[in-house]
Amino acid sequence: MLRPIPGLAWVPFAILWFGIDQTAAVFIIAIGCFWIVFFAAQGAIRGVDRDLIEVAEAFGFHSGPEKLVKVLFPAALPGILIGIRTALGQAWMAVVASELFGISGLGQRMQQASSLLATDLVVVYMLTMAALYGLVDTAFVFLQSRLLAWKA
Amino acid sequence: MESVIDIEGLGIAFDQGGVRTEVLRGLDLKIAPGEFVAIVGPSGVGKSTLLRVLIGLAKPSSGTVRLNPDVNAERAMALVFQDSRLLPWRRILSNVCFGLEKAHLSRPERRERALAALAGVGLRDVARRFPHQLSGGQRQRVALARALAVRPAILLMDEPFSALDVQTREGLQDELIRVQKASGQTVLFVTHDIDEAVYLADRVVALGGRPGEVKISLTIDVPHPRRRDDLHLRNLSARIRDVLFAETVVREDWVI
Repeated sequence: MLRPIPGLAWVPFAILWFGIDQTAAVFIIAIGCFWIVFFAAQGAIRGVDRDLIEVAEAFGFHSGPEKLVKVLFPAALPGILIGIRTALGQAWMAVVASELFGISGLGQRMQQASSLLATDLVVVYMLTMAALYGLVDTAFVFLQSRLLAWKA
Repeated sequence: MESVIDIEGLGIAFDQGGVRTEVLRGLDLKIAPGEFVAIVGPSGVGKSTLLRVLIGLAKPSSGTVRLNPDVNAERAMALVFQDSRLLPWRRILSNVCFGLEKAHLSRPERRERALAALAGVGLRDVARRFPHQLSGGQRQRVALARALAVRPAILLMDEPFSALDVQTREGLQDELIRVQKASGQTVLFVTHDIDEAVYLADRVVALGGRPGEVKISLTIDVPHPRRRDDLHLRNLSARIRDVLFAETVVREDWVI
């Protein structure tokens, strides 16, 4: 139900709850990413092969937490990681929104340059953001390939 | 000697869309320690469902299953599925350890036990690989090792070789016999292949009809190692075939 609400709409609440603080910015970014990860994880868990869950049961793992740790989570991990990777891109987009109200950072500077029509600066910030995203994404893909080494 | 398991009057039924379907009715089965019992019968007769009930994946609708408490085993049962069902994210050794993680064993103890089980099926050298790097026959041997590692009172096998090519299947049948004779493991083996059942088992129980009932129970009194073309075995196969196929209604009003 909360999914279609844009990150910007949360700005006043973030200020109310956390003040003009980094935490407020983190909150807005988190809200922007949450549903992507949530639905990816939900879909991945639902898609886990019933047969593998049966294997856990056949070997005596009957409780929910046991099945989660032994089968559901590792089997769903590829899908969950795809959600997290998508959310990483979304998080960088949310940075600008979250720094609209006076929290210093890349987003705020970009906003200022934009309002002064300093397009050259805007381009620099755009490139910076793209480069940072590229770095984070590359690191993530590396981590992903380590975690999913078992995939054919 | 007292039996390892005593199944009495076991019935299995399901509710499917409000319709009650009886799968199995009044099954009595006793298995002696070290005995290899094979259950044969056509598809849908409730063979696999019986194993699912025994391992606890489904509930019986009537009857009792009593395990002999005196039997020296760590777990009541372990199941080898038709498809190996190894966990693809675990290495082979870790897959064999899987069932042991329920037991109170230290990590090195589990590792050692799993390595021994892998060595038992001749696959010690693939311990570090992932399941997708193995052939179908190798994967099924790993599944066998995984089940044996937990030291079950009864090893349940659900058509474990039916998805393999003939050559691999025959190799694995001989390997199973070797492992079973060496360890004295009690086995309940389900298959639709009558020849396979007769070749492997000490006793063959044939199920037929709807709901499934025991049609014939035959002791296979041929010592191992057996020959696949043994005449006596063939005769026994033929007897089971006759009993099972006798109830197939032959329509004689066909015009060709």
